[in-house]
Amino acid sequence: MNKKFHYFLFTVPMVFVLAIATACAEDANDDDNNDGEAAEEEMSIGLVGPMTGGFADYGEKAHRGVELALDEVDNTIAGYEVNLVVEDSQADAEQLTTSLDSLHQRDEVDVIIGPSTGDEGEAAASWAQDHEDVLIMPGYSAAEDMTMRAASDNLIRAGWTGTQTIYHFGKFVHDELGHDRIAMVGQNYAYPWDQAAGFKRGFYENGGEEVHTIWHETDILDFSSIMNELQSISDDYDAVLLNSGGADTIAFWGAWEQYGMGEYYPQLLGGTNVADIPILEEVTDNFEGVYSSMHYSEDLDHEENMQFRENYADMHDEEADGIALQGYDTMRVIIDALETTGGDTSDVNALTDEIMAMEVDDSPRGSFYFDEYGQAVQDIYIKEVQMVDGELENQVIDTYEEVSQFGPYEGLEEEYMEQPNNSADFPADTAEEYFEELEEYFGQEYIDELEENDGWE
Amino acid sequence: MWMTVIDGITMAALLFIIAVGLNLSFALLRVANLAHGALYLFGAYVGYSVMSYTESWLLAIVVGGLATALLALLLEFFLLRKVRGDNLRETLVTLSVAIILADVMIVIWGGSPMSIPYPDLLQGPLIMGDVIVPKLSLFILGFAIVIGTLLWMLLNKTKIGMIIRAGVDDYEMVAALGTNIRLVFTSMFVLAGFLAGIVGVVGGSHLIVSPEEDWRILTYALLIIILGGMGSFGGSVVAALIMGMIYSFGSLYVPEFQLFLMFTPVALVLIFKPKGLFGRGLE
Repeated sequence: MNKKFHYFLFTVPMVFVLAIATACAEDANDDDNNDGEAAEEEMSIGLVGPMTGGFADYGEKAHRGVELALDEVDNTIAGYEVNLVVEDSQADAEQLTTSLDSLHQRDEVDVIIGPSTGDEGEAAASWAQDHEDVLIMPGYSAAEDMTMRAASDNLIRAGWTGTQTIYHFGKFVHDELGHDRIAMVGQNYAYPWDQAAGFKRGFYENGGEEVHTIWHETDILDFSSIMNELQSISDDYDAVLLNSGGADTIAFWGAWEQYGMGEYYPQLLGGTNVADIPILEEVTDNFEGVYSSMHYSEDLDHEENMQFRENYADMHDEEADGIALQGYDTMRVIIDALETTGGDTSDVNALTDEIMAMEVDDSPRGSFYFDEYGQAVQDIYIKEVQMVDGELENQVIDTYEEVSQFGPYEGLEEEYMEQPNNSADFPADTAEEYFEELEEYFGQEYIDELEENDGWE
Repeated sequence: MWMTVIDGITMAALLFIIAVGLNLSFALLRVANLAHGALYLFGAYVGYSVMSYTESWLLAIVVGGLATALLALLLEFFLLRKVRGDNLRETLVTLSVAIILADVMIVIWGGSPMSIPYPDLLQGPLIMGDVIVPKLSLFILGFAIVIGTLLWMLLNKTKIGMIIRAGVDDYEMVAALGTNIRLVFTSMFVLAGFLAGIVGVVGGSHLIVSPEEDWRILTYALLIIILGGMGSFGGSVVAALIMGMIYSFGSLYVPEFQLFLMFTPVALVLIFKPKGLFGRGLE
């Protein structure tokens, strides 16, 4: 939206310039390849994601995680020296496809790490279906369909999905915090829809009554009118759940403080990306007490995580977070698989078999393994922001073990995927309508079981 | 209802100070300075750094403004002067600078969104009965009024203003009469840069500082200029008020159509009054 105006005016000259620039870049790369071909002991691995522009953090941090994992093995896998080929997708699905094609055709890469954002992720999933001879492992993309409705054998995700990390947060908010009615403010696109869906499922199925959703465009300039609306309905809802990430989270929190919203809602809850380290560095101290859930928390106190954070900080001079972790874990999974298969990247089937059978028990996040669709099954942590030595930090206060991307619907995978895609209006905003939908897709039997167990077991 | 109106007015204040600097340089130089958003963001980042070293918000605003003014001077002196008079090339130069500057800022300040801290005095809301207004919004309103008044006085009550207004109408004639119009051009461009910088720091406290913010700000500034009329000072005020109200009521009642609603008056103006509501020159 925001760039539309000048794009409209300058598309023609820009396209021309870009065409020339791209042509030059390709020539230059061809030359490089010819020079390097003599060295047989080299192995190329591709990395793609947004490296410039507003989403650069999501690609760059995954890249830094990959670099750390490679550094630990002296940049050598099974005797081959690793040549990491990095492509910038600019968080644009169109550009991503071009980048994937370049990596595949120009650089003849068989293993690609990336991409990092939602739209890109969906484009990568359909590209993976057309290129079965390439292994793709997402950098941070969390669109659930990449490993569900659009799953393919050659796309394996050592990361998370938008719904996976938040199912149990819904249960936690109802059971442990005792809230029945939640007002949710979310960005109106696929990732927050996934988060809303996961939260609603956990919340309603364990006794929650209503999740009132207020959707806003990602481009909005300020949150004044949303604050006004939240104030006017504050008598009806127990807490606000902020379902967004990045810049909007900081802008939302700024307005929250300006309007003194703490008086109206003592409890703020967050989506998976809300209590990220870069955000904790920018918000005021009143952010203390915000709950959220994720598959990683920086405060996990086992040896692997402490080592990881220390090494990452040494190498890159910044704090590691969930994005860096995923780059790191993904690269390590690939290294392990390649060591076993003798460093042959071209036999993608052998590689995927190796990875799918893997049980990773030394990841900084804990342990994880892959389900039959290629998505990591892992522990989900409920985190609370606390003040530790004058700094805001996440503290794990509860853990739900071995959560799959289908959450509580294990054994009902087919039924789950029969449902429509998550959207602004699906699942519904009230428990009553939600259970009607639930009956339609999962049957009365499932609902009876829920009632019998008083929620999830 | 009153809350929404007040939200609209404070939003209008912010939009006005964002747009007025761009409109100023537009009127005289006839360049659509597409780097205006990048200058705004640059000012914000400089302000952020000053704030984290000195903890002084006022200093952050001043230094942010001066650093941006310097950047605008370099842009005008070394690049725009070379292509003066060729509209397409002028615009392309500013566009390239905007794109390059955006990535340079990511290299220097990183891609993570930030927010500039502001004094305790301005934090929290002011509660008057049913009406709750953030103190910072009131400050921005006052800020906009002060800047607007000063600019209006500069343009209408001083000799420099007279030369500028004459330059807008017929700059060849002004040059022929012995005025160094080049110098006037440069100083106006630098002034516009200074305004972009200080607004960047204030806006960066109220909103956020983040990559891509430059294009967002530029879009809003262009919308207001097109609606109000290119080069019209009063037009910027009226257009900002219209946009502020549309924004505030739109996001309350029809959030899905908010952006659509903001573009509608612009489209209508382009069809029925292509020069904008008050488009002629500086008043």
